Amino acid sequence: MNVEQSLRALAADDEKAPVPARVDAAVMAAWDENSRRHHTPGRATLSTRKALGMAIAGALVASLVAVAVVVTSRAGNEAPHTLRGVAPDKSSTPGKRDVPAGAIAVPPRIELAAAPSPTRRPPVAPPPAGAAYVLVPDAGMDAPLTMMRVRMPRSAFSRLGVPIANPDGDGMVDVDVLVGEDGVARSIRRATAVGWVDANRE
Amino acid sequence: MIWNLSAGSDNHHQMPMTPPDDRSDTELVRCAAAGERDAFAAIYERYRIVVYRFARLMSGSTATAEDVTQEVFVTLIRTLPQYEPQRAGLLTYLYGVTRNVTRNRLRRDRRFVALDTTAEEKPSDADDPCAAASHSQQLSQLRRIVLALPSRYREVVILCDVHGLSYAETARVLRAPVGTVRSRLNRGRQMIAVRLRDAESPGHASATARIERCVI
Repeated sequence: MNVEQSLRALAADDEKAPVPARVDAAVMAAWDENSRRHHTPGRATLSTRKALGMAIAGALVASLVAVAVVVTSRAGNEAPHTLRGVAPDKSSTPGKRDVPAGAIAVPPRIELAAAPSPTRRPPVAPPPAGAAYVLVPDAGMDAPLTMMRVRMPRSAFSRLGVPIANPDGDGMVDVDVLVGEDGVARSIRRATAVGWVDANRE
Repeated sequence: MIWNLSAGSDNHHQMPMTPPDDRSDTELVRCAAAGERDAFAAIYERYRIVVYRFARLMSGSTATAEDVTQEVFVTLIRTLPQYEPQRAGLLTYLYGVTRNVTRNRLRRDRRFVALDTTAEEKPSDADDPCAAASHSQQLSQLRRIVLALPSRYREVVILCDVHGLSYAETARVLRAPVGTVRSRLNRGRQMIAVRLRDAESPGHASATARIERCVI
């Protein structure tokens, strides 16, 4: 038997193999699922979901950067000097104020780590009393900012000196992060103020 | 439309299809892209056998062929709105997707040892069981030889000699010049011939082992 005859015999034998019914069912189920997803009003399309997923991933990265920056700044505050000649203000240093039990411990400012910084930029004014933002002054506020809402663990807020009295059941809190064009977080606050300010300020 | 999934063909040199829907591929694609389920079912019915058998011969595994078939048509579902009939026929497009998916699967799974092969052991109803066993043994051997070919030769041999595509059609599927297809086909056939001769030589033990058991 030569090669071509052999291959013809192989082809004839191959035609006896049907496609299993489970494959048929799976393919048509995929079609139905795809149709349902694309033709149901009010549901996100695949591309929308992808964009949403990417936005969430970006927000998570931004929140991690923000936490890293703030944690680093707190470590830097242990040093005897602060940035840009700003006099250490013990009343505004996180963790060193006399805060009544149960009261909010939002620091008006968080000093960044002791990296040399240019003096051209004026120091950022502390937020008015009661503002929930935790500012990161040396990161620069004169550039366009993007606000991103992310979820982060309550413990990360605690490390900022901002205890959250009423976290969600999973220990996560929604936060708004102001992110600059360079991806560095400028400011962070808790997103929903419902119930938490009063609960912490009473 | 009645969705008949038991279609088949007796002539391997034509496309193994019996289209129950006489609309053209382009029309079916257009309707399917608009969400018509029957149009997609007609496309699937028309080409599922081709895809499955090509994947089965390329991979040597029925399980892989099933997965590949499913993945190819899921890919088609996703890409229907972007498919441009003027660039490639639907069959060419499906062959190309099948080839890519199969190669990716084989690359991904090469660290695993296959537990199944396409050679299915079925009871023979032939008048001469010994001859049938011999024939089955030869086919199994041929499958192993084809499977052992480098993929660039294997795909050309399968497309041209098993599925009956012309050189030009094969070249479109592989996106290669026709001359390349010819040379690869020639080289693939030569390799198969050499390996068949080696297998049939008296010193080759595995070629006769199963048949001897049948004679006894």
